[in-house]
Amino acid sequence: MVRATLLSLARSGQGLYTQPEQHFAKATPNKGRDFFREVCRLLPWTVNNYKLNELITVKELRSNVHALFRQNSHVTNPGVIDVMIYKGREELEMVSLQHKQRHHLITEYVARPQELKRQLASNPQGSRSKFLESFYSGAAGMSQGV
Amino acid sequence: MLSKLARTASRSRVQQNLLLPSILLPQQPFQSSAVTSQQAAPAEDHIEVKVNGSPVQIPKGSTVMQACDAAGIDIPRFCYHPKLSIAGNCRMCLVEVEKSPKPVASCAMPAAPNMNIKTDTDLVKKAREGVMEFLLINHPLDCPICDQGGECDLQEQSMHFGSDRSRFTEMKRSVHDKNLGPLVKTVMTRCIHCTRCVRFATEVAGVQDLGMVGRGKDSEIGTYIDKLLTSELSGNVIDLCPVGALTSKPAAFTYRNWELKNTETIDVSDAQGTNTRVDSRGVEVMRILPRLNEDVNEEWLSDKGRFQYDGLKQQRLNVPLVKGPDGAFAPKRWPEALEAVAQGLQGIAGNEMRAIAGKLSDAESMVALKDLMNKLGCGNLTSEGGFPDLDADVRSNYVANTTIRGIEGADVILLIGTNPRIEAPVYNARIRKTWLEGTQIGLVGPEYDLTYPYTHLGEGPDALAAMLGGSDFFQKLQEAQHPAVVLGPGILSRPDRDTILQQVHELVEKAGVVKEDWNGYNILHDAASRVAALDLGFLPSARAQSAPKPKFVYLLGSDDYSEEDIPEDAFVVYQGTHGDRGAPRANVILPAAAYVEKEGTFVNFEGRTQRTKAAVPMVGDSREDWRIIRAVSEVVGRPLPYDTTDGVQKRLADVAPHLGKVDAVESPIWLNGEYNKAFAERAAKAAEAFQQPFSSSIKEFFMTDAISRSSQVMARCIQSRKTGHPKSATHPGAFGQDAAAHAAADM
Repeated sequence: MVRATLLSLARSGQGLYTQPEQHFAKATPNKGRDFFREVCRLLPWTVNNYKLNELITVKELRSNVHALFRQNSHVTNPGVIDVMIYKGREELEMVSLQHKQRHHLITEYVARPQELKRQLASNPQGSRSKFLESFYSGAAGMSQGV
Repeated sequence: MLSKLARTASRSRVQQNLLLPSILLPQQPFQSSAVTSQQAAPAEDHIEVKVNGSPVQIPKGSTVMQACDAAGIDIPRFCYHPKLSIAGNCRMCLVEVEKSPKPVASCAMPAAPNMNIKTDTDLVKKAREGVMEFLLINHPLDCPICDQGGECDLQEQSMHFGSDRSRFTEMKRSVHDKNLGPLVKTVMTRCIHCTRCVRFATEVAGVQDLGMVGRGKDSEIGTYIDKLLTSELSGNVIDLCPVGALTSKPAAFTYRNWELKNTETIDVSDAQGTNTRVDSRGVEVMRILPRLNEDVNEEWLSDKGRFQYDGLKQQRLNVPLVKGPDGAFAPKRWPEALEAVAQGLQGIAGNEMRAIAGKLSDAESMVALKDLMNKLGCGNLTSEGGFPDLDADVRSNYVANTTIRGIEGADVILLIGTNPRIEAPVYNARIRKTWLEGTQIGLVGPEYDLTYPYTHLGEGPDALAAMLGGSDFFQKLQEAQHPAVVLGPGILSRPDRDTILQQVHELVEKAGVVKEDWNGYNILHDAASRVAALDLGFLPSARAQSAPKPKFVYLLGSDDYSEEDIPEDAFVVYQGTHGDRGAPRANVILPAAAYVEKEGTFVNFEGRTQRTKAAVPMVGDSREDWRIIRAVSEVVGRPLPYDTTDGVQKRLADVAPHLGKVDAVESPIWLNGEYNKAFAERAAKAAEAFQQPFSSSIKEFFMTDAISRSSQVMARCIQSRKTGHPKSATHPGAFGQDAAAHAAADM
C-alpha cells in the first residue's frame, strides 16, 4: 500500500522522496521484455525510414534484435538491467530521432547479430576453450605490431 | 676490463699493419691472436696523457682519438671507423697537441706519454670550421630530397661545428653517378671522399671492386670500369657512408628516417642470427639494418638479410584455404579450415603421419608440432632439405663449438666442404679478418672465391683421406696452438655422411683440434631453424624408419621438401607465409606469420639463443605459428597444455634448458670422440665414401627460402650477377623474363 502510493507519487513527479530504482525492478521482473516490445513497435517504421527493406525484413530485424537481447540473458542484477535498459532507450531515441545513420544500423543490427548467430551455431554449447575463442576472433594474445 | 683493453690494443696493431704498403697481403709471421692476448694487460702497458687538462690512462699504441674517447670527449669524424683501417683523409678530427706546430688528425696520430691534448681551443674550433667549409664547397644542397637527410653525419656536424655563413660563390663540381648494381644507389656528387666504402670493400668484404680514381678535385670513388659490386656484404657500404652518396636503391625515396619505428630483432636469412633493427612504417617494413653485436655479426649484415624484405609483401597467404573436390582452393574461415584438418586426420594411424619443419620455423612452433605429433602417436619428424637422421645426442656434434667470435683466435683453419661466403657471409668476413691477422686457411672442396687466399687441398673425400695420411697442411694443423675445423652443411646431407664424419673425427683427434680450453670443431648450418630443431629433438624416432608410407603430412613452412617425402595420395596441410612450393601441393593452407611479425626463438649455428620481435602486424587473417598448432591440437581433440607465449617458452626451456637463456651461448661438453668410437661400427657399416666431390648446400645465395624467392630485389641481384653488368638489372624488361621463368620453375 505504502509502496503503491510512493510509486504513484513518483510517476506524477510529486512527493519528496523516490525510492532507488532497483526496488521497483524487483517488483517488475519483466522490464527487459517490456522494453523489447517497445523496441519492436518501432521496427517497421525503422525499416521503412532507413530504407533497410532492401537488406532485411522486419521479421529478420526483430529476430536480430532478439539475439542481441538474448546475449544479456544471463544478467540478473536488477541495477545492471536498469542501466542497460536506460542505455537501450538512449539508443532507441537516437534511432527514432534519426541521429543514427543508415550504416550505423546496418553494422549494429544487421551484420553483427548475423555474425553472432553464426558463431552460436558453430559453437552451440560454448565447448571451445578460451584459447580457441581468442584464436578464432584473432584478437587476444596475438603479438602487437605497430 | 682487461680483455677490452687488450682487444683495443690488438685492433690498433692490425690497423697499423694496414697502413703499410703491404696492405693487401699482410702475410706477416703468425701473431698471437685476440683470444690469446686476452690473458694479461699489465699496468706498464699503459701510458698517461692529458686531455683538456685532465689525465687519462690509455693502453700503449692507442691513438689520440682513442685517448679523447677514453676521456669522454667526442671528436667529430667522417673517415674514421673502428672496424676499418685508418685513412686520416677527412681531417675532421683535428685536435691541438701541445708543442705541435699544427693541429693533428687525432685518428691517425699515436698518443705519446704525457701528451697534452686540447680539444676545446679556438685553434681547434677554427680548424673544424675550415674543414667543414672545404667539405661543403662541393657538397650539393639537396638535403630535402636526400635519403640520408635526418641521419646524415655531414648534416649534423655542419650544424655543430660548421660556420654560420658561406664565402663560396663559384660553381660546385658535379660527378657522374656510378651504377653499383641493384642494391646500392649512388649520388656521387654528395661524396666527401672519406673512402670508408673503399676500405670496407677491400678489407672486410675482400673484393677489389671499389677504388678512388683521379686526383685533387677530380678524384672520384668508383668501380674503375662499369662493374657490379660483387659482394654478399655490399649493403653495408650504405650504413658506412657518412653522407647520402651511397643509399639503398630498393628503398630510394620511400621513407624519411624520422617516420620509422625501430624494432630490434634478428635476421633469419641464414643460420648466423645476425642482430638487426627492422624499421617499419605502419604495416610495412621499410628497411632492415644491422645492430652492433661483437659476438655475432660485429656491424655487418648480408645483402639477403638486408634486402629480402620486399618478399614479405609478395605472394603472401592471408586467409586459410581449403582445396575442394574440384582441386580449386576456396577461402575459408579458421574454424572451417581447422575442421578440414581434423577431417583429413580421421582414421589415420599415428605411424602414417609425417611432419616436416621448414628453414624459417621458430623453436616454439617446432616444439608445439613435436608435442602434437607425439600425442597423435607419430614420431616421424624431419627438417626439410637437410639430414633427417643426424644424431642430436651430442650437442657438440652439430654446433660451431669455437663460437663465431672465438674463430678469431684460431691460427689454422681447415674448411671442409663449405663455402662460408654464401652459407654465412658475415661469418666469412670474420674468417677473412683472422686471415688478415695471419691465420692460415685450407679448404677441402671445390675451389670457391672465398675473398681470401687459401691452400686448396682437394675436392672430395679422397683429399680428406690423403690428409689423414699426413700432408703439409695436416702438420700445420697439428702444430697449431688453436686449430679449427669448419664443416659445411653440404656434408651433412650427403648419403655417406657417417663415413666422412668418422674421417673428420679421426683427423680432429690426430691433429689435436680439441684441447683443454679450446674446441676447434665447428659445424656450419645454412638454415635458421636447424640448430633449434636438433636441440629440441625434432628428428624421426627409431620406429619412424619402419613406418609405412605417410597418409598425412604436416608442412611447417616447408617448401624445400623432397618429392619422395610426400606420397601422391597423402593429405597435406601447409602452414606458412608464402604461396611458394608447399602451398599448391597442400589440401589445407593455414596462413602464418613471418619472422618480422611474431616473437620467435631461434638458435644460431654457434648455439646462441635469440628471439625475433614483432615489428609489423600479421598479414590478413594469419596467426602466429605455434598458436595455429595449438588450435589444431584442440580441434583434433588432443589439446596441448600451454596457451600463452610464456607457457610455450617454458615448455621450450623444459625440453632444452638453454632455449630459456636468450642471447647466451651454452657451450656443449665435448663428447664426440667417445661417441664416435662407440658408434664406429655403424660408420663401418655405412657405404664407403663416395668419390663425388664435396659441394655447398646452397646453390643460389640470393634465393634460399620462401621469402627471398618472393623478393623482386633478390631476383634482380641474380640477374645482374649473371651478366656481371650493373645495368642489366635496372631495366625492368631485361629482368622480367628470367624472373618469371624462375618463378615458374619454383612452383
